[in-house]
Amino acid sequence: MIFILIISCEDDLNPFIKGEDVFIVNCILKNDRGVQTVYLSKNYQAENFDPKSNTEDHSIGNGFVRVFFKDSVKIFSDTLVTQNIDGNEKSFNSYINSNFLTKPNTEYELEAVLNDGRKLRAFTKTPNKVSFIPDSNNIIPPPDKNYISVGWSTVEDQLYSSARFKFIYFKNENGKQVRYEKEVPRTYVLENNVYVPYYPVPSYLQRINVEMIAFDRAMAEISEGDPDKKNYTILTFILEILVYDKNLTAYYASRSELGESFAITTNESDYTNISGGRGIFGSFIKQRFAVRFTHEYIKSFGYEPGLTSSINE
Amino acid sequence: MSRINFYLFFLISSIILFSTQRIYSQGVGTIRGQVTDIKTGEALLYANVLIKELQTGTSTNDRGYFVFTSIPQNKDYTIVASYVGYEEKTLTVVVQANRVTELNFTLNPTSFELQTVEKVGEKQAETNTTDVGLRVITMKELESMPQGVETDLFRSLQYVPGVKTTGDISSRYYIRGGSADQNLILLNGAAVYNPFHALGIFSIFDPEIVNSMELYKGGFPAEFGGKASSVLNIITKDGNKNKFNASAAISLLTGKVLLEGPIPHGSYIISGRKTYSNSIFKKFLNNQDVPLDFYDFSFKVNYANEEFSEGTKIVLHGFTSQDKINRNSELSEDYKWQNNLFGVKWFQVAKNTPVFWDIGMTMSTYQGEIIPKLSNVKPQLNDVKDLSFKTNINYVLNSRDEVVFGFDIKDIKTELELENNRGAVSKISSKGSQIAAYAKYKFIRFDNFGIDAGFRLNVAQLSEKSGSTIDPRISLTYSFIPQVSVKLAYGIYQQDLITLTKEDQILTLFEPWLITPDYLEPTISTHYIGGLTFRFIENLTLKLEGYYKDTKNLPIINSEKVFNSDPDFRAGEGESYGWESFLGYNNELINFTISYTNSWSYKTLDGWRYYPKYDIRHSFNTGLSINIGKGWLISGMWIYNSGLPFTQLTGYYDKYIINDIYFDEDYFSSTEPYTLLGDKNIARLPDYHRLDLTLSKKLSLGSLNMTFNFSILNVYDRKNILYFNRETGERVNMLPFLPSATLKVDF
Repeated sequence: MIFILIISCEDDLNPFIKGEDVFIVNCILKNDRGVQTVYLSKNYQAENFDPKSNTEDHSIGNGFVRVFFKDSVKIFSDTLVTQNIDGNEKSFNSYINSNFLTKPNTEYELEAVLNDGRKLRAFTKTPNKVSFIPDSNNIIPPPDKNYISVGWSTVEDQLYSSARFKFIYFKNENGKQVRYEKEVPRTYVLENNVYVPYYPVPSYLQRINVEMIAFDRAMAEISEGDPDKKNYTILTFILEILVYDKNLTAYYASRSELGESFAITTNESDYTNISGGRGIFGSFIKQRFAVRFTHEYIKSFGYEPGLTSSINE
Repeated sequence: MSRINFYLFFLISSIILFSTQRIYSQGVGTIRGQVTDIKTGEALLYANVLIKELQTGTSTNDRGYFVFTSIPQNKDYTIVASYVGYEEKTLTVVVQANRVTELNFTLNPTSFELQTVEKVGEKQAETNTTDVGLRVITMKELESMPQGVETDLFRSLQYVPGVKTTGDISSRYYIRGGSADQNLILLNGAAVYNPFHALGIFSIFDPEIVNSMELYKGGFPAEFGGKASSVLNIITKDGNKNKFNASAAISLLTGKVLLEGPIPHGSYIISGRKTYSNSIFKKFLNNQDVPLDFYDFSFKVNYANEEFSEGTKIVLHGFTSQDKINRNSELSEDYKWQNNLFGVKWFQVAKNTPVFWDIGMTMSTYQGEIIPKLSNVKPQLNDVKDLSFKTNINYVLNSRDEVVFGFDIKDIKTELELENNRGAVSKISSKGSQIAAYAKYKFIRFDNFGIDAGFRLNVAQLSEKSGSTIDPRISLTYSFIPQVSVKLAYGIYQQDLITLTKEDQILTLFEPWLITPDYLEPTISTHYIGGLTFRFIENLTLKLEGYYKDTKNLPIINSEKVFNSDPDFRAGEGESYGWESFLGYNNELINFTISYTNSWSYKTLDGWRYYPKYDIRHSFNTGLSINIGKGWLISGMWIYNSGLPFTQLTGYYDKYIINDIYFDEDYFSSTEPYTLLGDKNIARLPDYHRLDLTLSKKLSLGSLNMTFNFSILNVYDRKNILYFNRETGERVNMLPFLPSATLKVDF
């Protein structure tokens, strides 16, 4: 009994040790817009094991950021951006170039020079464009299947891609045509008597299969509770395909490693391709394909058909 | 080749030299027999047998047989057999020259209410036994240990010095610095690949079917191979040969039924166990709801008809287990693990010659699967098929020396499909054959000296890089006074069937097996063991052992794998050393043990040396069980381990979280604090200690025998840390104060 009384029932643990300063670069180059942004930040400490208790601005200003490609260079401007975070206006340093449209299959080198002279570097190579695999069944609704299946091919293998169907429609709101986009999930799953959309996640798959019931439900949802179906005009159906470069593929994959619900991992690895720091410098290319549809299908919901198109953008 | 030649020469010379003794020995005979339970006919493995007049002792083997050779003729001898939990029995016998005198003992279990622990003749039996690194655990001993939620074979191992676990939630064990996949686990001689239920919390073996188990912590003899660290050899019961018996038991987790009884010229035993409640898992898994369901089923049938074949016993045995986590949501993944095993074995005791041999074939399969359904979890599948053929011949010479040799042939196919944390896909299908021949000579003619020297000739191995090799195995014992034995062992061990183990997971769901890929050499481990055994009085044993283990080509998962073409493993090195002490005292009323281990383990990868997650510097266990009479037994066990290694935090940074493929423009809302880690496993968690108590009562009600166990795990509610959740700052502890109970009824 004395023995039990003298031994401790709980020992404190301090899991922290002082480490070196760590600098972070994050930048995803996108081919569907001309504005590219680089974010620089640094590590920080926290009290009471709650990192969110540290509300300081961790972004780094006064740096010099460039991206080199072929014989060109793009300079990024140090810009203070104000955002509303959890109801509070906060300012952060970002590095922006508003005239930078990336091209497929091109190597880019990022160099960030911090105000103490420290250099962080990284490379990305944008993926090639994908080729859409033509299929006469790629029409909504397909003639002899209850799902639509679209495939594509890439020059490089071992790159993640993701795809999503969406349709563009106009809604007559007080005489004015307002444009909307509606994403179509791969399917809907009934969870606790509620249909939950299930979207495909990035993977090596180069094909997307979407059940027609998902199209049906997405189509029906846009006018749910609105008896006047004629107010809706379906303009077009689009398939968007994103292909990640190898860095973004690895970075995304490393984030999804924690998926096994009951595994307990203590030292999960942290992927980075930043030389001298942490973070990610990656890129993707996005392509859009118009998908043909029949007027009968649109009309079956009471909507008006807009275009019937098979033209690639 | 010079090493191969040396050992072949050694073996052949030994056989020629010593087998000739039989021809020229005059005036001596042999006593051979089996020790069995009088009520069930069950063989009593590792029982002690003593010739009083000669003060010579031995132990029964793993089939309950014993042999004394070179016994002078025409004299009356008093032979005493004893076994834990049984009344000792004395028989007298007259030995005739050049004859094998059969002498079978049927021991009577001590009364149902009275547990006794008797070991007569152990001192004599062990003075020349080459058993350094070996620990035999009988079911009687297991029953006297504190019970948890379930009596568990693997959890009982954690009381053995040198055996480490990483906490209450996993029964995976690590021996003398070896990783978990370096432990060979055999059920009736067949390898079992994933012997765990419930995410590794329990072993799949129902203790009710187990007769005995022997654990080689290192330096294991030539008949075992294919693994680099240890051997756990589990031998199941044969079933009651005399009458039908049924028992049922219930715990907070499972219900189980066991049937056994005689058949013409044999016996059978059938056992099944299934979960009926999940609620207890919450205690193990930080209050998580786990819809876990498991079952296991085993059988064994023995046939021994003297008219059919004298001295023959044919055994059929099988085992199946399955674990499932099926979740209702289509957006949550499911899990499935399954083991299947079937074997047939022919044992033969040669007439009038002290020869035992057996030949057997087994099929063991394992399948583990993560079924993602519509979740983001990556699919994983592992399939192992192992078809084995094994024969073993044991020849006891007149000098009492033994020659043992045999073959071990395996055909193994592994398939693995998984996607790692970098998105790299591994689809590995490999097949290989392992052909090994082994031979050893047990020089045990002197009461105070014994050598077990042999080799294992690996003619063909599973991986393509493994050529023919020969692994020496030597173990010796010398007692310079009867009370003190010096023991030494040395051996080389190879392994080319490995698991893809995530070193940083405390609770691992998926440890797939695969044949060592072509780009790696097979793992080679060298064991050096030395020990001292003191036995100053009959019931008091003190054992000291030291070891050094050096492991080359240790496969370590390649955490930097990015592309499918990148290797899954990188070759590292392992080193471990330490010393262990054990003091045990037992008599009819009490059984007391105390042990201490001081050990160091290291792994090295790319010149970086670190402690593996199971490196524990100091371990101390002490246990006491007291038979307080009238069927009452109280036992307690206190375990202390110094802290496990962990990686400290150096701070946080804001990590860009890509949740949506369309990348939120609101970058600053898309970051989350992410921990920065210091040097791997450089710091230590707080010490672990726990006290467990069990009170059991046996009683008879008419024809019913009942056993009731009430246990408390972690009596003083020690907050033993499991891990520190870096994302939430939560400290997650292991098992809290946990009372539990089991009831067993024998019909």
